[in-house]
Amino acid sequence: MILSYTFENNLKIIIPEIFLFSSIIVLLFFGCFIGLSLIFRYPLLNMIISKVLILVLIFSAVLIMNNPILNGCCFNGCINIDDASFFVKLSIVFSSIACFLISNNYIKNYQINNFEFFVIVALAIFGLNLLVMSSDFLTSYIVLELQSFCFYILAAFKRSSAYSTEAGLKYFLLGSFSSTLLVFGITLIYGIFGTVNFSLLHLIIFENNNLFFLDKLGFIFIFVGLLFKLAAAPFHIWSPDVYEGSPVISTIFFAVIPKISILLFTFRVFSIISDKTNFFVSIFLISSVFSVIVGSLVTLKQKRLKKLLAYSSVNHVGYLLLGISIFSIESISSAFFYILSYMITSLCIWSVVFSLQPGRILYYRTFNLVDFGAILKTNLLMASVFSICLFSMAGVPPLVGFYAKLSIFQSAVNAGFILIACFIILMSVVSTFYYIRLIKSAFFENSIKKWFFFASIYPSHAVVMSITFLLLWVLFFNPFILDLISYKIALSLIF
Amino acid sequence: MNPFFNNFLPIFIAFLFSFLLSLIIFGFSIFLAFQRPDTDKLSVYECGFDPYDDARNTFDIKFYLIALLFVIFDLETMFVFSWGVSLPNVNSNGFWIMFDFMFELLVGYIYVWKTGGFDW
Repeated sequence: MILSYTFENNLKIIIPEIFLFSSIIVLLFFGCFIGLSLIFRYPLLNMIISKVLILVLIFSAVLIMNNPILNGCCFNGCINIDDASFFVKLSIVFSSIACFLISNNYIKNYQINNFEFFVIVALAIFGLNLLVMSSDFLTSYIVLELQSFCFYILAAFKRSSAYSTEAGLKYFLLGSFSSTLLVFGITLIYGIFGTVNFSLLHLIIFENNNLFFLDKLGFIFIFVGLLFKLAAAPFHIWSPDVYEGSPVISTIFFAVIPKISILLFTFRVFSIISDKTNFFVSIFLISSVFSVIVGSLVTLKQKRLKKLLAYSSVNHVGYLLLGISIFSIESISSAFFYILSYMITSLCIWSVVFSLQPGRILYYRTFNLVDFGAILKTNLLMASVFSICLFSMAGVPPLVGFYAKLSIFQSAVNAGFILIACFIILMSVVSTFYYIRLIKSAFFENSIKKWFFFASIYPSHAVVMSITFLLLWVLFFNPFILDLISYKIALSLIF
Repeated sequence: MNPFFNNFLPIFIAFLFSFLLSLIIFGFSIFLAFQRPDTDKLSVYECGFDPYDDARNTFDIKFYLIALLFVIFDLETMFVFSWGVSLPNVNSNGFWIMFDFMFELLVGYIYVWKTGGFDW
């Protein structure tokens, strides 16, 4: 009798996810029975499904915001909600709404006709939402696999293109390798401690005096797997190839959305061993410095836009890892401030990139940096938006990127990592070069031989572009909202 | 004997018995059956293509699709069996979770059916 009441709140806690998943199933049935039926003459459903999914995501955001339970765990401690999961889930949902808005017209222009595309994207969003809430190694592993499988399929979605299938295969092989490392670490942890629950593990490790060799080995394997997923520097090799090979519409989804939830998961794992971190800090510091070096220096040689953005994301992950390795409240909140501002900026950049679709060209086409010379002539306003976004990525003052970088460096200096902070500041000067080179090729180079016309900007792109562009300015002059959100996330992450 | 190993004695006996039974069946099939070998019978069985051929040819993935679907339903059997054994110990929550799992599997099945995964 008591047991039947114990699980009463389980379903209340995950009601947004239940809603999201059941609507995904309904959309799958819709696609199966309407899209593949001879009676309706095989209609193309992608536009409809993407619009319905935007509505579904808005509803699930409303459900997340109105959830009566703010803190608590359910399903035998497998799922745990707190302020961190609340805000990160909301940011995932809103950024994916923006991605849907941006990618709406691409499917029409480039004829991606399989109705599964947006259903798979929604499944990935469902997986990311669950990953944010999971406080158990087993649940989080399964959910991480769910979102990775969705992204493997998305990378290989353009079946006729050899680049896309190559990218999908590469992503699948390397991603499954990293998952193997992760699950091996989890088995070691389970074998030693006898539990996979985060809070129980934290209690056990807190009681012990020091970690032994096998405990450290297990956590190292887990962290390596997570660094693989984050594309941090010694494990970043897959990311530029996958970004370059996969179709742009898939690239935007794994460039913008999954980083924040994997970062939150890494923080959760790190907070298990939060009082015995001396050994693990060095791993994250080495990875952070490597990421910043690779992200700054290798990017200088890139000629393709997507590869450049991939390497610059490696660079940004370096700053985030600095925030992880310090692990004070200040550094965690600055890391989340950084990634939220990075998401906003990259949404703006991708919306500009999607608006540059040349009119009525239906073949696969990569973006070269030289092509940006034509923006200034065709659309001055968009060119200036693009350059200001790049300035924000580089961290130039009156924009939100500056404040994000400043808070990371400030927390590093306050924690005593002065030498590393100085080094990373110097490398960030190098990384400013390639952002400014893009602006130079957009504004000051007239080397274009062949002119081509960009289609006029779509209203949905304009909405995303203008909102994110406004946020870039507003959050510099009034960063308190973002600061409060990231501070609350940080408070709930420290045990 | 160690009581830990005592628990595994029936499993060991079953293992021995299955080994012996398979040996007997294979042996009788060698001695009793008519043997009339030809190249097709002796060649390696492969799913619809010649195994000793150029690796860059296109080949049919029908067999692999069936194998993949088999893996899914095989796993389902595994889950259902352990659920059925532990059914007295789980409450109504645990009871209905399996129905949820079955329903989602059914959704996948219908999806594969409608998209033509079973078409030979």
